[in-house]
Amino acid sequence: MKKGVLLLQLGLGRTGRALVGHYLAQADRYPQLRYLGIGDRSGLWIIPDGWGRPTLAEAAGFKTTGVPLTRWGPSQRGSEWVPAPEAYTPDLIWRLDELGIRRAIVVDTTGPGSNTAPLLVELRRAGYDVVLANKAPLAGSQESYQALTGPARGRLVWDAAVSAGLPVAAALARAARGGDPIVGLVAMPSAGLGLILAAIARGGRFSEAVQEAARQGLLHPDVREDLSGQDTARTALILARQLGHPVEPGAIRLQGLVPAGLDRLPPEILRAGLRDLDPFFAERAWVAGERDRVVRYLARIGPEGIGVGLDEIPLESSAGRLAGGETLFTFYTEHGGEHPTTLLGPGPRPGTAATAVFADIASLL
Amino acid sequence: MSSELATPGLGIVQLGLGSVGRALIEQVLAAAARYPWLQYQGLGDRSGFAWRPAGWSPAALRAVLAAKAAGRSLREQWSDLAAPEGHFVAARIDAGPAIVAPFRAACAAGGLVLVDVTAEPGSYAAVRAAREAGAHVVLCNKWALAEDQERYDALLRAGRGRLLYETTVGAALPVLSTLDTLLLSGDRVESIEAAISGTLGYVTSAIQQGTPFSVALRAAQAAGYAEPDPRDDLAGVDARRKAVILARKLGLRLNMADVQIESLVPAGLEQGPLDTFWAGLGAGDAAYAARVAAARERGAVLRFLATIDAGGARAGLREVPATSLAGSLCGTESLFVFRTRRYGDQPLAIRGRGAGAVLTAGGVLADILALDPARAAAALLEGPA
Repeated sequence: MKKGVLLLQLGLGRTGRALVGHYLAQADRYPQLRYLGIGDRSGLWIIPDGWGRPTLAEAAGFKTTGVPLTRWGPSQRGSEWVPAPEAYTPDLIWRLDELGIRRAIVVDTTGPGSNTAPLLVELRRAGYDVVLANKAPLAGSQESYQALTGPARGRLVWDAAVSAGLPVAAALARAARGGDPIVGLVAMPSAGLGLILAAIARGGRFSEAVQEAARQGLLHPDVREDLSGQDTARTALILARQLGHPVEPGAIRLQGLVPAGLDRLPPEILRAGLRDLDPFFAERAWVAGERDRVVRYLARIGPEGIGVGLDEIPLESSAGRLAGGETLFTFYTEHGGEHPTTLLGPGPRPGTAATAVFADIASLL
Repeated sequence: MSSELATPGLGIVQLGLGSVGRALIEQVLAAAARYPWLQYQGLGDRSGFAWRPAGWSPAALRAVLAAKAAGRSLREQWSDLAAPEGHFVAARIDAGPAIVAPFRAACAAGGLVLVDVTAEPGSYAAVRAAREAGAHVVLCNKWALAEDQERYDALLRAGRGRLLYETTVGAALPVLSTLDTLLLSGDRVESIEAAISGTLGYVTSAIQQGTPFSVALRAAQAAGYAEPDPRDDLAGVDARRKAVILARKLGLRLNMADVQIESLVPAGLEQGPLDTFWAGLGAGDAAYAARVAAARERGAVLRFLATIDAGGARAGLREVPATSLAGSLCGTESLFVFRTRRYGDQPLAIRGRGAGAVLTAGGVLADILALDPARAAAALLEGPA
């Protein structure tokens, strides 16, 4: 077998396809990196000698039709199909072992509901490196978080999943170690919700702002992930854990952007229901504006626990000035008092998210 | 975990017992239970250097802090001890390799970090000697990094230990580590725009609110932000060093003299006694007030900003939109805006307090712990100390 680093990509949704595209554009700069496998919900295709560029492009192109990979097959010789039950359990490691593949970077580009954590734990234990584009594996129980992030033979990188390439994880790890502990954190991790609320503050309608944010690719394909606040809550949970607080998901005080129940409606019906909320958001924004404040969707981590929901903040603050589409992380330290440190950057679009994931992969080369 | 106790410790040699140095010792003591592998072995101040191979106990460190607070130098403290274990040399950091001699052997074993929290201009030779001997080096003092390019190159090449200096720019703000992360990930940083002078941040904020320039500068000095001779701030002496450090991170090859600084010292007052400077400073107030007013007409404010890009490094008074990030800064706040190829028009920004002894010491400790990040992360997982 040729020398080099093998890449195994789990998930071929929007981010997964963008990652393949980014790899194809960068492949000349990283000749040592080759795709070993690509999977979707239906299973995983493995080509032990590495995927050719046309095969990669073909697989990603095929997936844009929405048809599962099981209905497609690479024309390269030696390709193997691993069906879904086996591909997403620790059985995968046996299969890799049979193929003589004991080192690879596994990148998780699956969606929030895929439950890949148990597999990822075993992969790291067996010596495979793991890169997360999906933060859900970090947002399960505290026990599973510790299992996934604890010492293991394989490395784990997840900056792209939590902060879209802003080096928040590194900054937090630094601050958490240092002599000036972080006592509080305020984050606006969702660029999509930021865009929606900034648009409303300028007089836009809520329902139209949601569409615009979706059009710009700032929301999940299933917008309920964002509107329910679940996505922001997962980020808050992971940040709290990075600060050294053992927290269970149930301990988060979560108020969705839309009323509870609405976020459980099927997407088509939800879209129609959003219009009914236009007056509510218009009024909230107006009331806040009267007091020189703006409404933002924030995650707050502090001595009183973790809260995620709508909040009014001064227009003059760093978060209040944002035009929308950015992400922001502000941390307060014991000695910094009223002078927090703020990291601010553009929010992830499918393209930039994939770039950030690829940067995480490249950091392991 | 028992496996941790079996791993070797990290000896700390700390040069400098000023406000940052004392805060650092306090923080190491406070976190001793969490980071048991940190062990002070050497301490230096202006009076000399004390080396104790068996290490300082927490009680001995507290005694040093108390004595320093009472104004007693290390040399005086050492002579008070009946039978001190270890030895004292009357050498300061500017003594160069002589100060490294007592712990050269310990450096070679790889478990030692030299921490420079002095403000000594002559630190270069000692820092280089420590690196050559195999020590890790953590710098809070900018001088060694602002030497001419060839000497800087030689410093980087001098050893295989790590060289960390996050607090030299923006104190505890994660500025250089963020830059490292961006560069490591293959992104290209096209430009950095930074508010890196706390004193000038304070002064520009104040004149924006109508305070005369000369009054604002006096207030900055009264508040302890300004250098003893505030002309150093106005001439951008410190900003120049920070700009060189940032520019070299981006791969630029340049020296201090290559940084173009717009000096705010009024013409004719560059030299001479401070009294004359203060007396003459008020003459420029009206001109500054006029600049502020003219900027306001355009919806802008004045800020002292450094810019680093492929064209080099420069700093000066600029007009920026009042609604921009730089325009919204207040007082001594620092700001670093990175424009990168990957992020395009939307910059990545870090904002916060870029000065203060306790914050700076926290950043130095973070650098020390970054020498063994896996062990520090594992200690943190075990819960708060």
